[in-house]
Amino acid sequence: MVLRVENCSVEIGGNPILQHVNLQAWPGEILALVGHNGAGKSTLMKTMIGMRGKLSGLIKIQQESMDDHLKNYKRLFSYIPEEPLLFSELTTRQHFDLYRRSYSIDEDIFAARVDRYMDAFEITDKKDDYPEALSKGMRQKVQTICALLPDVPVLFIDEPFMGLDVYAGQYLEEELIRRKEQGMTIILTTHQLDKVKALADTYVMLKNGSVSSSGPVESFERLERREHK
Amino acid sequence: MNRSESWQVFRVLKRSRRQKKMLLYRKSFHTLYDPVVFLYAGVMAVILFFISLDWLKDFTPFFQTLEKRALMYLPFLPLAVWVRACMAAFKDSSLPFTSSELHLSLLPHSRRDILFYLYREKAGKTLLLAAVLLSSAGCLTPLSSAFILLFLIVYGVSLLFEVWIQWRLYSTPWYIKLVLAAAGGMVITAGYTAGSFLGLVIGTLVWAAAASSACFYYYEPSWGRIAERNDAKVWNLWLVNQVTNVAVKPPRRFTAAVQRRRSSWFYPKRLYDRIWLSHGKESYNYLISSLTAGVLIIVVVPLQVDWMIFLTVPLAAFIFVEVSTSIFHNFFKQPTVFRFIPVEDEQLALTYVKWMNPLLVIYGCAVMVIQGMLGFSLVSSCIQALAIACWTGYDLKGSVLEEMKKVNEESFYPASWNRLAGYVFTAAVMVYPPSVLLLIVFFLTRGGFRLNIRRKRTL
Repeated sequence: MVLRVENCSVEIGGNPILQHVNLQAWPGEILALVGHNGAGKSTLMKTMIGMRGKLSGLIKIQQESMDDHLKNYKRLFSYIPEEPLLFSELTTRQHFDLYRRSYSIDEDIFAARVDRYMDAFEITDKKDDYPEALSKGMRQKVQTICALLPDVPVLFIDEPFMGLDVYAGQYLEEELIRRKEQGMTIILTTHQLDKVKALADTYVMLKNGSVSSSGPVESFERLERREHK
Repeated sequence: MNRSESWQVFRVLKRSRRQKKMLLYRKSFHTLYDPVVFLYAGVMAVILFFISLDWLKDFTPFFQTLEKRALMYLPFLPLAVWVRACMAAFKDSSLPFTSSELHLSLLPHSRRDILFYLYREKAGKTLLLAAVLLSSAGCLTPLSSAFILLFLIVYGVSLLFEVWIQWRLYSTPWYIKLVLAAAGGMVITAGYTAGSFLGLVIGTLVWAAAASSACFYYYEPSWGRIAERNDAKVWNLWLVNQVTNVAVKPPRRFTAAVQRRRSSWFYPKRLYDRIWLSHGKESYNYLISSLTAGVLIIVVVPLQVDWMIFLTVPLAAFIFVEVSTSIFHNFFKQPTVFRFIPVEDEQLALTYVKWMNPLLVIYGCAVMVIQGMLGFSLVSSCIQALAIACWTGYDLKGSVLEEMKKVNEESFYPASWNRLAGYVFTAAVMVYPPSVLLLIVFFLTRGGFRLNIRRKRTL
């Protein structure tokens, strides 16, 4: 097991947002967090990456607990947020370099990956641009490449296809499948149910901050059909 | 990831920020940093240094007294510095933790490490600056080296705590800061009044213990808020955005205060304020040149022929009103959203007048200055300046409201004769100040400042 969340509860301003959430993910698995707006998907993801504090519970990636050594824990995942979190002072190329330094990525691997991704996402001509000169879609592409650069066991993605054009979305889909085959665990939240069915192996459905159902994605399709009837 | 790698990343970020800021400032000021200018500045600094060295010799007794007095008050310095930190904590977080540092802490870098680097940088820079300033003072003045060193040590130690106190207190409730500042002030006052060194030391220690406890127990940082405030501060967003039209960060991050008041900006009046401010900035050159011309007319011509003041002042007022009205009119020539949405016409126009009225102070001052130079009495100068300001404001309001009617293609009677009469009365006030009564009667009969433009009756 790569990722383990046990009895995780989160409160915001005294209101319970997540209540006793449990989930597990295995190597080479794509797990989709689904649910209506306000169900707690993004909060759960932000809690798992340490952006939001939890009230109780245990979150572990491999053997590293978030509570023991957050810095080591953070080295085990990368994250693509819904809204790109870019540095105002860095150009596109400098962003990639910052990620290389932060995750200690090997120079050769880094150079090859940067070239490949910049080409695939069609941002080669934007390498010296600052974030404010990029469109929202371009910023999302830069953020996506940054998160894809390190070799980490877990990749968290919040609404991965938002803002990406069709070609970039398609490439990302292929890349996620390729990474999954290499053993990476991918946790994604999305409202696009067709993407869930196409990509995910398992799902966790959240309702009012609690897990209402979970299992293989086939059972999600059955659940969806039943709800339609 | 060890600590040194985080430090390297932090340095890269800082270096990139410095480079981008330079780039933005260059863009802002349309200048390139010319090394020749720096060379001349350096030569001038050296010359000035020697001149001041010679000049300061005359003040030797003063500095000797100053040293003695400063030594006497040195024990108050730490607490004074910390009280200052309490007050500053209302507005400033001391450590420039921006959204970039926040993003950095989402990568494998500890937020604690980043804060430590920021602390080290801030304290180091301030200490270095203090050392340079004090060393210069030591070189230039007869202050003793021992005094300079002692001052530097006491200030340095106080500073190390000051940065920490300010950072921590920034994220505590306002009443904690207020109570600590007041308590610190009381300790200083009591120490000064009683003249007891031991009492001051004990008071300082008790205060420090209370402040430390407060810093630990009430410290609840709102990282988003801290980052937003510091973004605005670190990047000088207002300046950069104004000049370059480059949005380094979203505009809502200019200041947290603006964000707090954001809801109130949706009221139409607030909206009109923003519109006119922006339009005023666009018409800046036009406005400044006409104001300058007006001031020159008021000041220069009467210096040659003094009686001309009776004509130049009403003329300058007339120019101001006409220019302001034409700037108002220009706004409606542009393709603005106001062509398509319903607005409160009168409110929109009156908001414009509200923003133009303060400029009349410049004319008022010019009138006062020239009258002073021509030997008018203070009372008559005041009456005349007030009369000219009141009339100009009144006429401006009427003209702008008329212009609004024109824009809306409404029919109305232009108040041309009234305006002429007003300017004649203003000239009369300039000749003979008691004529202000005429102007008052005129105001009252015309409906005073609540000017209503008569609409033409249509059949």
